[in-house]
Amino acid sequence: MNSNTVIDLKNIYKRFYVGTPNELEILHGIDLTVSRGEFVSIVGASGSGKSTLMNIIGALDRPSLGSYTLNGTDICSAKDGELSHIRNREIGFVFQTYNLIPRNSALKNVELPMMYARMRSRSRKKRAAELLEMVGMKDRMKHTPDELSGGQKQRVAIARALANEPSIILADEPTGALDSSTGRMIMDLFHKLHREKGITIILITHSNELAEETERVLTLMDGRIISERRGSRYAEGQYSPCTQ
Amino acid sequence: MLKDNILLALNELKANKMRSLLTTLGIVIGIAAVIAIMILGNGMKRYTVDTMSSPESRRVYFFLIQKGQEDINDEQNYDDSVREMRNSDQYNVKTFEKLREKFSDRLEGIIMSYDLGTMKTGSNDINICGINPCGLKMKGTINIAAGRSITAEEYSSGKSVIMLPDKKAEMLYGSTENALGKTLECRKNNSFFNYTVVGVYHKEKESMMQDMLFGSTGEPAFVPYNNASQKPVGESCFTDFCALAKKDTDLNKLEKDLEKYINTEFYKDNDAYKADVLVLQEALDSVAMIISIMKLVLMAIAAISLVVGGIGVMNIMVVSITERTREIGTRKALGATNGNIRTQFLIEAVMICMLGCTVGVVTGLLLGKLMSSLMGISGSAEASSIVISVVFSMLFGVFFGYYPASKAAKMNPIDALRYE
Repeated sequence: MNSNTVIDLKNIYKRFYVGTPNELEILHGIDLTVSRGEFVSIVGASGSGKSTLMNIIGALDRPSLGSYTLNGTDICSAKDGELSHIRNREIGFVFQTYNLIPRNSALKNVELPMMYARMRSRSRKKRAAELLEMVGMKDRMKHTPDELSGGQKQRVAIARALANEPSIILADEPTGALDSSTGRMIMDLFHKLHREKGITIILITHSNELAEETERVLTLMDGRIISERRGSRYAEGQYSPCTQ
Repeated sequence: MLKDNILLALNELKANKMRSLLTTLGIVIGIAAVIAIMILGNGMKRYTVDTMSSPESRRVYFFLIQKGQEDINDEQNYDDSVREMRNSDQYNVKTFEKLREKFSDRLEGIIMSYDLGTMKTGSNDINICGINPCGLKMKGTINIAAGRSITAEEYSSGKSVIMLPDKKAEMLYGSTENALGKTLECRKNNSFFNYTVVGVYHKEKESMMQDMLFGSTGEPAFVPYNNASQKPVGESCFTDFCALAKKDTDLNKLEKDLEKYINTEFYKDNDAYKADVLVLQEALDSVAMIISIMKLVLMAIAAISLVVGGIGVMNIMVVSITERTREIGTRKALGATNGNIRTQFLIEAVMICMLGCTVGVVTGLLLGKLMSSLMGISGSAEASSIVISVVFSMLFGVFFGYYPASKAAKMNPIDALRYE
C-alpha cells in the first residue's frame, strides 16, 4: 500500500438479513483505492449500492466481508467507540439534507465535531469562525439553520465537515436539494477546496454531469464498479469563473 | 463538555418553553407539597411540644366510674344493672380539702369554673363565667389591662366583683380606665345581678392549634366561682372535676398516687363506684405521635406525585428523542460516541428535574409558611430537607432519564440519519 493512499477497499461485500430467507447481498466485491488529494465521484442509479458503499466508506457501517483500511486504520475490526473516533477525526460528512442541528447557530454547528474531539471552547470558536469565513459565511455565523437558505446551509455543513481536518470529505448528493445555480456554487466551493487546500473529496451523486467535473469517475451498477475513468470536464471545473 | 451539555440542554428547554413548563409542573407540585407538608408537620409538632409545658398540659381529670370498669372509656364492662349514682357517691368539698392537704406539694389547686351563660346588660349581651384562681389559668394567656385581678379574699368570700375583657369594657364604657369602679347590672331571665368592675383584662389571641387541641375558651367576664355557684359551697357535689398539678411534677406517677389515695380514702366501702384519674400527658403524647404519622403519610402521598412527575419527564424525553432522531444520527456521524449522546440526554433530564425542584422548593416554602401562619403555628423546613430534595430530583432525572438517554445512545446512525 502506497503511503499516499487514504482509502483502501478490498473485495468488499455487504449482506443484509444474514441467515434469514430474505438474505440480500448489496455489494459484490468492491475494490477501491483513493489517494490523498484526489477528487473522486461515485455515480450510479438508485439501488446500485451507492448509499451502502458510502456508509461503509464513512465508517457508519462495517462490510460483511473484505478489508477496509482508512488512513492506515483497519475499519473492519474497529469497535463502535473507535468508529466514532474515526468519523470524528478522519471523515467530514456533507449530506444532501444538510443535517445541521436545529436551534443551534452556524458557529455552534461548526464547533460540534471539535466539541466531540474535546477541543477547548476558545480555540474551537476561533477555528469555527475561520472556517465559516473560508466558505463565505462570516456574516451569518450567529444565524440558526432555519434563518439560512439551502446554499448557505450547505456551506455551513461543508465548514463543519472540515472542522477536524479530516482525511476525506464524503459528500452524499450535496447539490441534490439545491437549484442549479446554488448547486453550481457548492460544486465550485468543492473545486476550490480541492485545488487550494488539497483536500480529498469523494462525491456520491446520480448526476453524470457533476461527476464529469471530477478527477476520477466510478460507475456503480448492481453492487459492482463497472467503469472507472477520468472526468471529461475535470480541467474545466478547475477554472470555473465562479470560483474567483 | 459538561458546560456544553448544560448549555445545550438549556437551549432545548428554552426552545420548547411550554412543553418544559408542563413537564416540570409535576415535579414542582410534588416537591412543593413535600416541603409544605413538612413545614406544617414540624410546626404542629413544635406546637404540641410547647403545649406540654403550658398550664393546660398539667391538668388532672377526676371522673367517677363503676367498679369493675377499667377507665372512663371502658364501655365493655359497663353494667346497666348497677344502681344509679347518688349525691353521696360524688366528689364534694371534703374531697377537695383532703386533696389540697395531702397533695399540697404536687397540686397547685382545684380548677373551678362555672359558666353562667349569656346575660343582658342594657341592650348588650355579656358572657359571665365563675372561676377560681386555678380556673383562670385555664382560660388562656390573660394580662391585666387596667385595674387589678380578683383578690384571694374576693375569691373565697364570693364577692360580687367582675373582671371584664377589654373589648367589652370599651364597648360599654368607652375606655378600659372608665370601666373601673362602675357597677354592672346584669339580667338573666328574671334574676338580677350587680357586679363591681375591679379590672379589665386583655387576652392573647388563641392559635388555630390551641382551638384544635383544647377548644376556644372565648372571652367571658370573670366573677369569683363562689359568687357564681348557685348553691352554697358546702352542699355542692360533682361527678367530675379537674385539678392543676405543679410544674415539673411526674404526672403519670401523680395519676396513680391520686387514684390510689381517693379510692382508699373515700370509695373503699362504696358498693358501686370508684374514682378514675387521668392526666393529659398521655393524650398529648399520642397527639404528637399522630401528627408525626400524619406528616409521614402525607409526605408519602406527596412523594407519589413526585414519581408521577418523574414519569412525565421520562415520557417527554422519549418523545423528544424520537423527534430528534435525525439530530442524533447527525451527531453520531460527526463523531459523537454512545456515551456522548447518553450524557447529553441525561443532563437534559436532570436539568428539567432540577428546574422543577428549584421552583418547587420556593413554592413549597412560601406555601408552608403561609399555611402555618394562618394556623398560628411557626413551622420551618430543615435545611437538610431542601438539600435532600435537590439531590433527590437529580437522582430522579438520572433514573427517569436513563432509559430514554440509552435509547438515544443505542440508535444506529444509518437508520437515524434516514429517519423522516
